[in-house]
Amino acid sequence: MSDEHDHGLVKRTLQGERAAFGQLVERYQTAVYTVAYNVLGNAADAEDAAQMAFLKAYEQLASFNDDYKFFSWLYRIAVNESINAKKKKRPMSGLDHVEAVAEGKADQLTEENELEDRVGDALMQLSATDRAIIILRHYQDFSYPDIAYILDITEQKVKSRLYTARQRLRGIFEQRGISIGA
Amino acid sequence: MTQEILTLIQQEVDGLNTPEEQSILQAHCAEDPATKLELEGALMVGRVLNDIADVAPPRDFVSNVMKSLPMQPSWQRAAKPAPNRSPIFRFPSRPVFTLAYGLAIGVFVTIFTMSSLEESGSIVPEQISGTLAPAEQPADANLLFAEEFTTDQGETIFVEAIRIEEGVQITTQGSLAAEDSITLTIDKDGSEVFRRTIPTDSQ
Repeated sequence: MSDEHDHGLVKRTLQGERAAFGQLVERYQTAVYTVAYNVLGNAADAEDAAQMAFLKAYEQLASFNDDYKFFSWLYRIAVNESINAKKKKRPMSGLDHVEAVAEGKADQLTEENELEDRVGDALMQLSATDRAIIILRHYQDFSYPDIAYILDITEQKVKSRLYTARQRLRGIFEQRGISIGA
Repeated sequence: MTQEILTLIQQEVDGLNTPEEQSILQAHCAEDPATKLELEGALMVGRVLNDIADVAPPRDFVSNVMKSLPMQPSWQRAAKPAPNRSPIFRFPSRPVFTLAYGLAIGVFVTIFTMSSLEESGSIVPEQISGTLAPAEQPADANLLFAEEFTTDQGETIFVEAIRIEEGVQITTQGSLAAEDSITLTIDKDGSEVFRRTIPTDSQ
């Protein structure tokens, strides 16, 4: 969907049409929830963080600068909310489905999910910010400048952290036998 | 391995290398097995990470978000500061607000007398029929807010919300440019339980 369409919905929301904001929530709920889930590692915290991100976006909507993409601006709020929430929580070893294995619910997991589970578990070994960088780059395909804007760091910092995070993940993948082949 | 080669490897993972840069990298890989190994490992990590999938939020996520939004966000409050006088008497001269207020009070009386909201959690539309007559503004009404603002199209919108009991709120919204209808909504514990658009020419 185009930026112009998003900007139109923002304008309508600012004119008092709450339903227009509902359309923005509908459109971006999965993307925002996915990044929150991958940063926080569990569904309940992800839902809280994603909901809080939309609430803050609504409250701060008048400060949105439409020189930017609405999506990048929303992501900036969502990522910061998720990272801050993570700092307040105890460290976790992996995503929900990894917890399910520990609870003896492994039979609920399909083979298709196993690689994803192990990748998610490996991601949780990174810092919340590095995890966010990986998600922004690989899941959302954000450019280096976009990631720099979202995380409020320099583009050079994005590159160096991305490099370090991938190197770390590579070590973890090799250690755990995670590979999709050449 | 030089910093330049490491940068090219990273850019290759991200699909950002130009054809010239790709040629440089391929030449290095052909000459140096360590560079080739590094590139293959980096590409493998990139492929694994590119498979990160959507995680679906709960089905009621959107409605939960919408319920959590404030009735009056800060940017609306900033746009229209409250006057010093009591908000209950903010719109004394406009018939449409009198009518809106009448609707709200009519519903309040209906709900109060039927006492069914708590048990049923919903209101049947027919239960508010016959409440269109303007009513006096009661001194004890718990007015949450009453705002009037103008859109870019020059349309003047009014919104008024009254709490009639703990967790139950009535909101009226309409346009002063087209005084042909008013939308009345009732929210209970943050959920909309009733909505109706009522023609104002019925008065």
